Amino acid sequence: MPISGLVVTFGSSVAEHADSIESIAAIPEIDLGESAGSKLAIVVDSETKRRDQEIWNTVQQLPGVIDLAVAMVAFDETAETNKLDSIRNET
Amino acid sequence: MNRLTTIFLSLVIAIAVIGYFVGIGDGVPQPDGLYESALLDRELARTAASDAKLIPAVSYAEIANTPMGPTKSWQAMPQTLPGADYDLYTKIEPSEAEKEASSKLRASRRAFNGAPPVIPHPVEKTTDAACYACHSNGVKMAGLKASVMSHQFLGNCMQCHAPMAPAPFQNVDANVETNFVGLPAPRQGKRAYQGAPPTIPHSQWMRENCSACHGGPHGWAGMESTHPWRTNCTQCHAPSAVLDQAIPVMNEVPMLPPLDVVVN
Amino acid sequence: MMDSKRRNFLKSAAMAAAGSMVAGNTGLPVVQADEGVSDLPDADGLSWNKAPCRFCGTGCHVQVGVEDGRVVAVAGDKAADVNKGLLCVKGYHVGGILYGKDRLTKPLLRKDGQLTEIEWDEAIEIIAKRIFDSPDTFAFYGSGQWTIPEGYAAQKFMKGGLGNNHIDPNARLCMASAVTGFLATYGVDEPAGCYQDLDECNVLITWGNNPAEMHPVLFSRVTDRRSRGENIRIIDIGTRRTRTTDAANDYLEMKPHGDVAISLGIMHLLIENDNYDKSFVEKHCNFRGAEEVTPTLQGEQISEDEFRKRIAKYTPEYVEELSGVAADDIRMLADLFGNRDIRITSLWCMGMNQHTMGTAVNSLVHGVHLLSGHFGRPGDSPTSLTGQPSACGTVREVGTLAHALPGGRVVAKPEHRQQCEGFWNLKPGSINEVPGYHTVKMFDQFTKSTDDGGDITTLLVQVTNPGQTLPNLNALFNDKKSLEDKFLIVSDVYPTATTALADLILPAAMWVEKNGMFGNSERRTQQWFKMVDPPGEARDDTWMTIAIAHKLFEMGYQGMKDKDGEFIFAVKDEDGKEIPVWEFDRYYDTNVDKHLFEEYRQFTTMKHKNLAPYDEYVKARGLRWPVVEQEDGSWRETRFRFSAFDDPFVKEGQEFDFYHSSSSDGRAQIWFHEYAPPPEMPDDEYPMWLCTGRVLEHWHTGTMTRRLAPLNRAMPTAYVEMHMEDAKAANIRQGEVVTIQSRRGVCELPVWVDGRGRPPRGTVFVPFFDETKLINNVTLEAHDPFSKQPDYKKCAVRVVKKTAAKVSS
Repeated sequence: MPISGLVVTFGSSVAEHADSIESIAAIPEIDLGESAGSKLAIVVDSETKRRDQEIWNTVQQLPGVIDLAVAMVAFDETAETNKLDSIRNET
Repeated sequence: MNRLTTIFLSLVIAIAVIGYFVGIGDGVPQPDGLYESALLDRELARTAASDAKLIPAVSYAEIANTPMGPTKSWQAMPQTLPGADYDLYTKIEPSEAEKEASSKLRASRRAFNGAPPVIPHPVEKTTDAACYACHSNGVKMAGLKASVMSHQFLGNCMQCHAPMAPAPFQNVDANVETNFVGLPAPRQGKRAYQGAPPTIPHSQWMRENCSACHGGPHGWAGMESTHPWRTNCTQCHAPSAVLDQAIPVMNEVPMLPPLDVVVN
Repeated sequence: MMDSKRRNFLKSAAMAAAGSMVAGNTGLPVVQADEGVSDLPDADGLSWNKAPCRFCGTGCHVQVGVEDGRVVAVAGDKAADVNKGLLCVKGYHVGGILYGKDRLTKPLLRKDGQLTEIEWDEAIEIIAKRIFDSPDTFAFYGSGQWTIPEGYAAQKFMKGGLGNNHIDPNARLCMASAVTGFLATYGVDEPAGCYQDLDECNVLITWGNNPAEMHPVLFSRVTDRRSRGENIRIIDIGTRRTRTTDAANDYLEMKPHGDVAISLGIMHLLIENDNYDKSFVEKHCNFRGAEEVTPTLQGEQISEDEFRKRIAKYTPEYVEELSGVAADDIRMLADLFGNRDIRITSLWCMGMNQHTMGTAVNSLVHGVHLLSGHFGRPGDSPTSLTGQPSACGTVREVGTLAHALPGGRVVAKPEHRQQCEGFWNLKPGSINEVPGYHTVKMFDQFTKSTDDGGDITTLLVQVTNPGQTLPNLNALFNDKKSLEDKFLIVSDVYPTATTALADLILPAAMWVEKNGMFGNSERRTQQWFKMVDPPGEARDDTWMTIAIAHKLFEMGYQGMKDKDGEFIFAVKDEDGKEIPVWEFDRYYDTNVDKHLFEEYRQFTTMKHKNLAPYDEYVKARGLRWPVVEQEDGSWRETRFRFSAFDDPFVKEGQEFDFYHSSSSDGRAQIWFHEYAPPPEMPDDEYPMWLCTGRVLEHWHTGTMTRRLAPLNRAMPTAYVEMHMEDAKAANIRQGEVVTIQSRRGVCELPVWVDGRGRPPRGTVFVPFFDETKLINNVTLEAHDPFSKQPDYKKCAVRVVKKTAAKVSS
């Protein structure tokens, strides 16, 4: 059950990417945070790491997004110890 | 009033929590799954007892008389060494969009093309070893990528690469009002004719290791070489005299005077 | 299920972390072009040219990339011997210093408290009139960032033209004790060795010095040898842990002033163990001590027996008591110096210069090298580093100090004055024999009211920022505000702490906006050409000096005429026709730098600091003096002075020859100085030591580096470094803003517990680059008796929580 604080960087000012931001907001696990310049802070609170990775990939592939950086990651250890949900390599 | 106190307290706690995570991670944000690699999980899932490959622990007194070395089952099996996860001969089709994105990201970390990039993540440990741990061969993990050093081993990394603000001063307004406009990132080299190898559109100084960006498993998307197995890059790709201080730049190419041919 | 409370905490923490990265300084905005720039650079028509870096005294060469009249890129110069293609983080971004949005572009005059734009003609006239009306109460405050021609023009204008010796540079605050140390030891200023020593030493000792941050290119020249597999022992002697300590094999933590005791302790052991270099000392050295009644720089000769007697009490145990460095470590150092098979280079900079015993400790460390014979072979060298790009070239060689004349001459000596009057074609007696005011005295006289004897009324400041760098600003600078009749003229490129109190501000051209020459720490003279135009009406400092001089000439001021009635800065073309270089649009009709340099070059042979013709420097990446013409007409530079194998001036048959020896016998002086405690020590009221200094990312007062985005983001604020236990004891949190108080003033700063440098308990460290947090309101103006250089490295302070400070005040 990972919770991560991410920073989305767009190729230009955040205001010019309304469509992508709408798509981000449409993902139920994501809370939008503040934005400045070309950067937008988001928090992803997802059920599984697999889902977290999917969201990561989705956001990264949105038009205009040039970088996605991790500010903080936390996860609940007890919830997932028995699952063998391996993280795939990014290939 | 009460609400303000709550907000204040939750801020304090939030900072403490961040401090805790930053603290345990030496200041580097921990990518998801760092401690849960597939390898580790699988290993732990196997029960130790049923695995002939595991060597039982012995007490210190017994060490001297315990045979060490490969286990019987290991010796009995033909071993295959783990293959490289990077295949030199995968067909590579660089995408223009990826190249554009990579260029933009790279440019965002430099005051001008050729400037040493700033360090885009917090650093606490500034020893060379700390930087080399990731940047000597590059690392790709959970969406984060540590670039490969494009130059030879040089000490005192922070001599050239500016870090982010120190932890206590991250929120200080560091805006700078400037009219400086730097040399932009190169787009592409020149080709003498279609199909000719392009020239190198940037200086080679401190970028001697071409595969740091243009090949290998940790290069930049869109900038990969389509033929990474060829390693003598400058055999075909000509460097730029203008950008490279390689030879003195002159307005005209010095030539011998024309031959003195007597015409009847 | 995850505890929802905890989850909310984590979510808010994650949001805070991500938010701080968005709102904070980690965002790197895409460079936006200014409206004024119509064409973005595209590497088409890009041209490269050489220049020395604008910042420190290392003297790296950069390649400056210019496109469409603007600097767009900078690269390390591979052809440069100093840096071999490398730079530091400041050097790589040096091009940006020209483009801060708040460049000064128009002369500004304060009228009724308001700054108003005026024309250059009016500005020059105002200055000339003030000087004309009262030439003796005018003073010129310059800089180790002056180019050589700028300093030379100022020098000739003041001492030759006005017969006024009140000219002093900021290098007084930076290099003066190094100068007096060299003079006392060798009879002539500047290092004998060069940077090649760093390539050949086996042991590098840093004395109160942090080259990993302050001279990084030189330091990595040593550490890169280590990563190539060579075995180099780095010994860091300091009052706090720094990045240099991180790379050091040994860290010897000393108390402030401990360096004096340590060097005495090493010499004591060399003599006691009888492993000093007897043959070197016998052939090439004298012993010297201070006179009992009025000590001078000359001192008096003492016998070796007397030297032994005086130094006898500096046993390792006594030195441990004085310096805090363990007796065994003193023995270790003495054993290293006692071993002639290894090569030892000492490095120092402000730690030993900004010191009330600066002259003494400089002389003593030279003495350690001389006594042990670790001198004059490549790698065996006492090496003093400079902080400014031309502290050596302009201040020490051109002699822009209150007592000096060009080429190692002094105003006090009649024959030196005569020589200068000869070179300058002036009437005999034009040069005043009384030394002018040194920096501290100059500002003291300027900020004191005329009725109280403050006899400097007009002060012209070029290329420096005394409103931030003087010690004890409340005593030496801030009082200017209330003195109506005092007139402060400041030539600078940006608004600074100094322009804040200026009556007249002159916009200056900088670095590659003008021709220039610098002289670095290893005697290397460097030249560059103007590459881009300065913004608006910003103009060259040399031009300002010449324009003021010519205005005085027009007004009939006699001093601005030479013996034959010609203008002292007259520049003539090939046909002998005068070029009006005082008109700025004619200034670049000729290369004024070249004219001034060729005139100055005549002065340099007396002290064997021979310089080559200007055109030789155009071709080279700097040349180290003495530069001597060979039989084939080529010019040869000198790497190791006083050593027969390299120095052409060493007498035939000698291995070493100190040919400017103050004892006139070709010998260097090994000095004895008694240890004395610092002038102000922590006590019950002010219990902490304060040390000030620099950081890697910023240079001096930050007027340039704080306008460079990558540097300012990396270090956005000054801070106070504190030991964890001290912070705990005072209940001070990381990042909390506290007040630093001394007997002289206060400064508010955020705390960085165990920051980049780690001071021991009882010590705090503050960098001085931040003009919004002036630590020099707190520092002490006590200075060395010979060099007059103040001690910025130690005074007593207390650190007070802000809430507590409010209650008590």
